[in-house]
Amino acid sequence: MLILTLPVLLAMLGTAPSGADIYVTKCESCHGVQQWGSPDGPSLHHVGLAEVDFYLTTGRMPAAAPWVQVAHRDERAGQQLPLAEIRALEAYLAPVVAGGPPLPEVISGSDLEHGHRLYEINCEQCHAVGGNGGSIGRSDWAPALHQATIDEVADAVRAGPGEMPRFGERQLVQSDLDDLAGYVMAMQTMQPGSGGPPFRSTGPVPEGALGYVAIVVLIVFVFGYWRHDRRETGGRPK
Amino acid sequence: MIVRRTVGWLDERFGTNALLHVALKKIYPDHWSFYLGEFALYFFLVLVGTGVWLTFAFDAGAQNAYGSVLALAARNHPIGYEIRQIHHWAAVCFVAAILVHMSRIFFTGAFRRPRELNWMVGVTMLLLASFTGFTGYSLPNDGLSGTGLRIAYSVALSIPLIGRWAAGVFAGGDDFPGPQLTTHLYTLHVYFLPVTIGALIALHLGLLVYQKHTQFVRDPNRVVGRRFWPDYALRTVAALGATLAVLALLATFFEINPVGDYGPYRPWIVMNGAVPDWYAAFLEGALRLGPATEIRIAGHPIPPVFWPGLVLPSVTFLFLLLWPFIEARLTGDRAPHDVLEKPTQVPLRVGVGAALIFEGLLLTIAAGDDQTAATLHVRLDTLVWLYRSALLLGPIVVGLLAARIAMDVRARAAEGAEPPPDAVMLVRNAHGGYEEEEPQAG
Repeated sequence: MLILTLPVLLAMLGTAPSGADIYVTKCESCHGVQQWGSPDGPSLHHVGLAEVDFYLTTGRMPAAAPWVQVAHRDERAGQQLPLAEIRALEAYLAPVVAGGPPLPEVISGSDLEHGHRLYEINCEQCHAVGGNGGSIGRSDWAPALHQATIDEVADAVRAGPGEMPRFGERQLVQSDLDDLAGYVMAMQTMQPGSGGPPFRSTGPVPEGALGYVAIVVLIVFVFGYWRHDRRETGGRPK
Repeated sequence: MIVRRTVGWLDERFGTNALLHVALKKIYPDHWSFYLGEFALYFFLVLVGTGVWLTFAFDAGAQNAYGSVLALAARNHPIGYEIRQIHHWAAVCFVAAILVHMSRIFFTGAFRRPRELNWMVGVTMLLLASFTGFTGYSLPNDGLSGTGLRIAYSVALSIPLIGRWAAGVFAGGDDFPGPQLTTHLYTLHVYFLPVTIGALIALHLGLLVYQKHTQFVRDPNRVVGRRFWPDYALRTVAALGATLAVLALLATFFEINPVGDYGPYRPWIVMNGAVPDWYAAFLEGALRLGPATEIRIAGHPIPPVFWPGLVLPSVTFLFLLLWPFIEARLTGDRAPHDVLEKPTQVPLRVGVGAALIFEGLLLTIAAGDDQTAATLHVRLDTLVWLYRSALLLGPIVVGLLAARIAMDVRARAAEGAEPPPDAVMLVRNAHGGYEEEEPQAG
C-alpha cells in the first residue's frame, strides 16, 4: 500500500506539477488525449487562450463532473486550480488552442463615461444594469459581474464563452476594451455619492415591495394608536 | 385671538359659522382601517406638492428631458434629488395605499347600496392613479421607461381597426418615438390626470360626507365615533405626519429609479431585467404569459398582445367597477347597508376577493419571470408553463379555499358565542398548584 501511494506523496511534496500532468489528471477524461474532445467535453483546438483562461480562472474548469459548475462560477465546487497551475496548463495547451482569441492585455480604462456607453450598447441586454445578470431564455443565464476580475472580463469579451458573443478587435478596439473593463470594475465598487441614499436601487420589483412595507408601517402606526385610544376610553370610542 | 377675529369677520360677511359648527361637530366613526384611504389622500397631496416643484425643473422637450432630470436629480443638487425621490416613492405608495384601502372597502362590504357610485369613483381613481404613475415615470426618457413606452405603443397598435391611429396619437407621430411623445405624456401627467383625480377625490369625499361613513356598530340608527374637533382632526393630522415621515425615511435611505444608471432611451437598447413599476407589472406579466397566437377576423390580423395587453385589464376593471351590482345580483341583497360586515361573514365575497388578489399577484410575479428563473436556476419555459397553469387553475382553488375558510370561521364564531359546557377555568394558587376556579354566582 505504502509503495503504491509513495510516488503520489512524493509528487505532492515536490515542485508544482507540469502542465501535461495537470492535463492528464484534470482535463483528459473529457477533452481527450489529443484535445479533440469527447461526448463529455468539446475540442480545445483553436479555441484560443482567452477562453481557456476564462474557464480556468473563474473556477468553471476543471469541472467536478461535466454537468457541475461549468455554466456559472461556484466557489463551493472547490475545484479551482492555483494560479501557478493555471499558467502551467496554459503554457502546455498554448500550441493546441492557438488560432482563437489570444490572452488579452487589459488595463483599467479611465474614461468611465465611454465605458458606460459601451456597456449599455453591448452588455446590458444580458448582464443587466449594474451587472446584476439575468435570464437569457431557456435555461441559460448571463452571470452577475459582481465578482469578476478585470482579466476575466477581458477574457470573456474576447473569447465569448457559452452563449456570449465574441467581441473582436473590429468591434471593440484595445482602448474600448480598457474603458469597458474599467467601467465594470467601477460598477462593482460604485458607492452612492455625497448625500445619496445608502441603499442602492436594484430595480422596480424591490421598490414596489418596499412601497408595501411602508403601507404596513403606516397601518401598524394607526392600529397601535387606535388600540391605545380604545384602552383609554374603556374599550368604547367616546 | 386672530382665529376668533378671522372667523368672526368671515361670519359677518358670509354667515359661515353655521357651516363651521356642523363641520367641526361632525362625527367620524372610529376604526383603524378607516385611515387607509386617508393615507392615499396624503400621498396624493405630497405628489402634488413635490410635482409642482418638479415641473419647474423639468424640460418637456424630447431632446432635453433626460438631461434635465439628470441635472435636477444630481446627488449634489441642494434639494432636487430628495424631492424627486419623495415624488417617486409617494407614487409607488399612493397606488399601493389605494389598493389596500379598496381591499378594506371590498371585504367589509362598504360598497353596497347606497354607496355603489362612490365605489365606482374609487375604482376609476385606481385606474387613473396607475396611468398617472406610468406617464410620470416615463417622462425622463430613460432606457428603462422608454422600453415600457415601446410596449405600450405596440399594445395600442394591436387594437383592431383603429390601432395605427391610436398608436400614432399616443406616440405623437407616425413612428416611435414620435417627436410629440414627451409633450403628450407631460400634458397627461401634469394637467389632465392629476386634475381629474383631484376632482374625483372631491366627489369621493363629498359623497362620503353626504351619504355618511359606514361603521362597525350593531345599531344602524346611531353613529358612534369622534367629533371632528378636536378628537378626529388631531388624529388625522397625526396620520399625515406619519405619511410624511415614512416618505422622508424611504427617500433618504432607499434609492429609487436611478435613471442615471439606466442611460437615455435608445430604441435599440433593451436591458435585461427590465420591468415596470409594480402597479403596471401585472400587464407585463400578462404579456409574458399570453399565448403567441394571432387570430384573423375577416382577413384582419389581431396581434397576440391585444388580449393580455388590453382585453384582460379592461375586463378586470369592468368587473371591479360593476362588482356592487354583480354581488347584489348574486346574493339578491338589494337593501341599503350602513353597517359593515366582518370579512368572514360573506364567504362569496372572500372567495372572489382572494381569487382576484391571487390573479393580480401571480401576474405581477410573472412580470419578473426572467429574474426568478436566473435566481433559482430553473428553465424560463418551465416557469412560464407553471404560471400559465396557475393562472387558469389557481383562482378557482384559492377562491374555493378562501371561501371554505371563511365559512369555517363564521361557523366557529357562531358557536363561540357561548363557551362550551365542559370548559373549566384553571387558576394558579399561592402554593404554585392549580385549582379550578369557582363559577361566579349569578
